[in-house]
Amino acid sequence: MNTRILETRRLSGGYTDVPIVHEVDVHVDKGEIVALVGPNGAGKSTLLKTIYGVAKVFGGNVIFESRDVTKLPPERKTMIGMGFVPQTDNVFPDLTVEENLEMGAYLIEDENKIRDAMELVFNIFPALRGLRNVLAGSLSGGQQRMVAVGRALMTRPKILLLDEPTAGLAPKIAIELLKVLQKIREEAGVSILIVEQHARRALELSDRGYVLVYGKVVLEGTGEEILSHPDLQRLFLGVQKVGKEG
Amino acid sequence: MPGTFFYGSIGAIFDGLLVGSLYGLMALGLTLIYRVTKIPNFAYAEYITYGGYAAAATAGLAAGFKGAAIGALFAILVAAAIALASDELGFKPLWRRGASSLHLLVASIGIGLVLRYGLLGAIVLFFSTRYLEASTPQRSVALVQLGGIVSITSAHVLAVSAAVVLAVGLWFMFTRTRIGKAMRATASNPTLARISGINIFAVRRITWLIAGGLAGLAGFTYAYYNFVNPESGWLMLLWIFAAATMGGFTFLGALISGIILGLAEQYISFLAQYFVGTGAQYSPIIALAAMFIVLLFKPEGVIRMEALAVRRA
Repeated sequence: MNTRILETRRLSGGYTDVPIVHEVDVHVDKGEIVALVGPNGAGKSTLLKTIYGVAKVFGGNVIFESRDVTKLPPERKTMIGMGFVPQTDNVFPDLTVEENLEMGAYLIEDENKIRDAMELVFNIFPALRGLRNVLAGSLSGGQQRMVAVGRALMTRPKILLLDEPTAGLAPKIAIELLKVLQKIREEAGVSILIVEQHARRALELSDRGYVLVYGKVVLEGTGEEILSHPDLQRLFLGVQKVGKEG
Repeated sequence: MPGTFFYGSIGAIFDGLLVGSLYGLMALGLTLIYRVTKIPNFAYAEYITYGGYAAAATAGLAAGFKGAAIGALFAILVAAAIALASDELGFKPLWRRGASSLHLLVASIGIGLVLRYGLLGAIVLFFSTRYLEASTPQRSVALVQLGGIVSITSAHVLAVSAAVVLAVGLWFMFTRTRIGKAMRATASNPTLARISGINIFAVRRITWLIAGGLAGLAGFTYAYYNFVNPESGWLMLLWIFAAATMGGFTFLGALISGIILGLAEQYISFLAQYFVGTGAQYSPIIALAAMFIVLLFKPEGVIRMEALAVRRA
């Protein structure tokens, strides 16, 4: 399939010697927003980190644009058109907003391209324009999240991996940020693989989704299919309710 | 003699500027390593000593200025190579295994010991003496004479100009250039730096080469007006750390603090010598007292972090 941008094939990964993610097959097609949902500790974040080479790969492959990128270190993955926003520690607190964005564009030599990319980020997140000379560490949680996503957008990645971009944000700000993701897809042409705690919120926004439990994919389909699936409640049971939480 | 005190004071101030600029120059490299890798590097003093010996050993290859330039170049290269080696073989493997700043500090003392007594051992082996002092054959020359006793020498000009130019240069690099910002990004969040496409290992190597080069230049300057022995760097380490700490681990702060310390050391020694006839041996107390007082009243150092200066810019 030519439209497939990212794919994992029986990917296993973790941190020390015990795999947390087991033989996972997920894929993202061009222009898609795909959600990874599941209870706490299901390995959603670990899956993203394994894909990006921040966590260890124990087996399987990561395919980006028909190329096997399993063994590429994170900096090389960024170079070939992938982008990643970690859940925590996703800004440079000791650098200004503008410098954070510049670091996102570290691989770009052309000053004009950097300026254009920064302009794009400021259009997506207008609030950042006035904060460009402020240290990222002194911003609010919501503003930091904008910087984090903005930094990753600077290279105009073809696919963006987002690890719980709304965690810890007030509901109103969280919903705003998720709406922006759709804008990012449309304006910057970025495909998105997003991990979200709030399953309903994420699936409503996404084209497709995967439910991960104990490091394995147990359910996949469109947002509607997953949300109306009779087993969904049971899969989340005891860990987290699927509803209008938070 | 009414003029003695006056000219003595002026002389002490000029010597304070020389020594202080040298402390500042040395503290710059220590600051750079600390800012990027979070290592309080006690082995740093040894890079200076090796630089001094490298200068003394090579400056005689040519006469005059040309030889001095060769000496300075070799001092920079040797010290940079040793600094890089100490990271590649010592600090980096520990850091990759998750060593904290405290672990790395202790490791740096160990690396310092190996370098210091390795050099001493080599000297004993090849020259059959423990006390091989060395200097460049080109000696610092008086450029201006004041009152027959005070002179401004070429070492003064070299130390002060090198310290000022390099402090401003490093500040500029850190706040305005791509590599400097990458260094700060690497220090601030190494994982995110990698995700951003920064080769943090290359950034780290460049950091050590620059810091080592600074130590080498300081070593050359020292050997140019003084004599190096295997413990020269080690004996200055207290002052270097005092300058870096007082400077809040900023480049301009390190320069200013180094000069303050050098002036205090030389002038108070002069006063003690003039009025009491002794007292120069107590000068290290001045470094500690100055550092204590600054940290008590201005814990962030004599100037604020440069990152904040960007905010106002």
